[in-house]
Amino acid sequence: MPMLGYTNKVLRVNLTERSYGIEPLRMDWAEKYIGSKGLSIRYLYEELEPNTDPLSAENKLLLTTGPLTGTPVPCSGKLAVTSKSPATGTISDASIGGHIAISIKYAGYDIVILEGKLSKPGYLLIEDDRISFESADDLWGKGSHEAEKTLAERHGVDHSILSIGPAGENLSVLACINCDYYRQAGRGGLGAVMGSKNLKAVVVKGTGSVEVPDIRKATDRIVELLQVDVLREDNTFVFDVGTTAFLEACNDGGILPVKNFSDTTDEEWVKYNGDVLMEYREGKRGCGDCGLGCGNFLKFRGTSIEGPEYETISVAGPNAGNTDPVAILKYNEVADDMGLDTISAGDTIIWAMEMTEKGLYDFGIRFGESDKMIDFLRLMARREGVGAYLADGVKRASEKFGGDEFALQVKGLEYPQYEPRGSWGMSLSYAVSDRGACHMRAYAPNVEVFEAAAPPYTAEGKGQMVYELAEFNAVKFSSCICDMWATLTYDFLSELLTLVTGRNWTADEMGEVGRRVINIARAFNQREGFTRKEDTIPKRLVREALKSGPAVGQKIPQEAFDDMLDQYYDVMGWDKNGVMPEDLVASLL
Amino acid sequence: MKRLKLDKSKCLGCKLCATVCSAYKEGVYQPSKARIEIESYYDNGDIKYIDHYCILCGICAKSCPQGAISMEDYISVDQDKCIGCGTCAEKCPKKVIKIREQKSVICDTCLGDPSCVKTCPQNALTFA
Repeated sequence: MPMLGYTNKVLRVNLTERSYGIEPLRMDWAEKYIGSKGLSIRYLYEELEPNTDPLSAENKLLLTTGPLTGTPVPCSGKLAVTSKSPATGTISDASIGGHIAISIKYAGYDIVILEGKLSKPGYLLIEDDRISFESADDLWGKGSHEAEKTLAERHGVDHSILSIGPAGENLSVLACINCDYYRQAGRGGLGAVMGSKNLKAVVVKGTGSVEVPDIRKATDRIVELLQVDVLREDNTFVFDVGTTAFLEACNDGGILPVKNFSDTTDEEWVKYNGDVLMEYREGKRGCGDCGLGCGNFLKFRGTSIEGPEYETISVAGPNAGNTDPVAILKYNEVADDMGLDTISAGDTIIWAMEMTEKGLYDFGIRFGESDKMIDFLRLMARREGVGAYLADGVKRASEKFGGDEFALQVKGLEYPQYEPRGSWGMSLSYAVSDRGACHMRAYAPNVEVFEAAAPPYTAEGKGQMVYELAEFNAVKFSSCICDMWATLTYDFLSELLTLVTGRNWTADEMGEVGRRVINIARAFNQREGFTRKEDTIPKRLVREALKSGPAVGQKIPQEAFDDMLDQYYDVMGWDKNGVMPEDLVASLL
Repeated sequence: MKRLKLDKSKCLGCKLCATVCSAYKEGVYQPSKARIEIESYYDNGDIKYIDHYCILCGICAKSCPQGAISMEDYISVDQDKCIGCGTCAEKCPKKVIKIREQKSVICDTCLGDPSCVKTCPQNALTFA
């Protein structure tokens, strides 16, 4: 008997033919990978030919929910957007909030698979079982916000909308996908995959249902968990200030990057801290089925954003030599509207600032020039002037102009805003993450810095530590649960999956699924030719010691990094070259 | 008489209220069939709200041509008398009443112990 919780339907859309079909979900894969992240990677492992050009019609974009989507399980409103990344050439799944995941599920689908390419700009309209291909002639070239506004007026606010901005249309590898205006599938250039398919937006309305075995029992327990566990102080700080809370913690821990990761710690952090930003708060908004509501809607002098997240504050603040909170808000708004990932676009601009400062190439922008930084977003999204080069990200730009020793990236994905010299495990986490440098795969600072549960400046034990963090996140994101439920445990997760699917999931199985998800992603990347040589640490972290802050004097010796990699491969059962044995690959299928 | 109230400033737009309502009343998770519809959305740079929930105004009971709707501490619909004419839904000022399978579907505040209120994570919905 198939598991409940799923709709057991996959909508496969052929954009080239403007046709679609519905097929049953591969329930055998759902048993192994649950949903969202893991399940979508399993599908793409099966369906994508090796060496597929990420921006060709042959690449596919998957919108994947999970069994918990559409139930009242707290923090379950996230959608996995998965494809082969044009930024990295790896598999790449990005998790997006808002209400789109729930709309897709209620429309009747576990997964929407987008294949091929529209012959001219258009958007896909899904209203339950009615699917249509609409023209985007009037939307192409428009900012993501204007496109969403137009579509909401046309179809109604009961529709959820995924859209791209000009950056996605112009195939920038920094391009994100937006939902509910201010939520992003940010990393890995998935907006460019949509753009390459001439797909401006996906508009979804769902009125259907999700069935579970014993709904009264399930709902009673889910509501109890919401009230007793989720709404604890350990989690609810995100309601008060969102992820701006991390600014002080990162600064105090010596991992807040300054001026393109040349140093850490900013004495002026209080100028742009959460309490300053929250003075502009107009209201609160969360994702569907979320009890925490991290979204802070801010307005200031014509600028409206939900956020900003810690990452954006850091990259448009201290890492860009800027202390003006209003410039950070504006940067965030324009990046969202242009459809650019605030992290990757920001990292690329601050690299250009350092290139200019060092006299290596004059990009016409220096640290502290926050107005120009905002202008650069528009140039990059439209590939105008130097924006044409910067739109390709910091890896490609440094290959062309030099400065790779301070190009902070792994596999072509730019660094998130946690400085590894103050949290050595994070350098390993960035290096082995399935989609390039990502902080969502294994969040080492939580252990090494915030909880101080492991010494931060050593390689010892980091392979196991990063693995355990990665295992947990891999199964959590495969169950479509948001990171903000920080007190989630395998016991809770397996109990919830059991209540919803009717299959008896155990806590031990959660770890097994997490490990399997890490492995299937690695298997995909391995097939694309990725091995140890791409699991890298940026030269700056090896060569330059931090000059100030709590981690002053720290750098990460190459031997220490290599040691951490060896440990991690050992834990995973991969060989010294980071390659999985064939029998392990076979066990994943 | 206790009534539902919504403090919009606390509402996240999570729609958990409707999801649990459909669970207890319809046996599936299906907010489109819930007896409450509260959500928020962005419009022209502002947060706007949809707030369809029963305020126990009693207009449905007074306007029912069949005398099928009664109100004491909560609304009751006599399924034998209701002919699904839709008068109640037309008159409902909060647009919360739906006609399904020729019967009127109205919030009964879970007989005075509303599940939506017990679920609302930010106490935006109250019953007092």
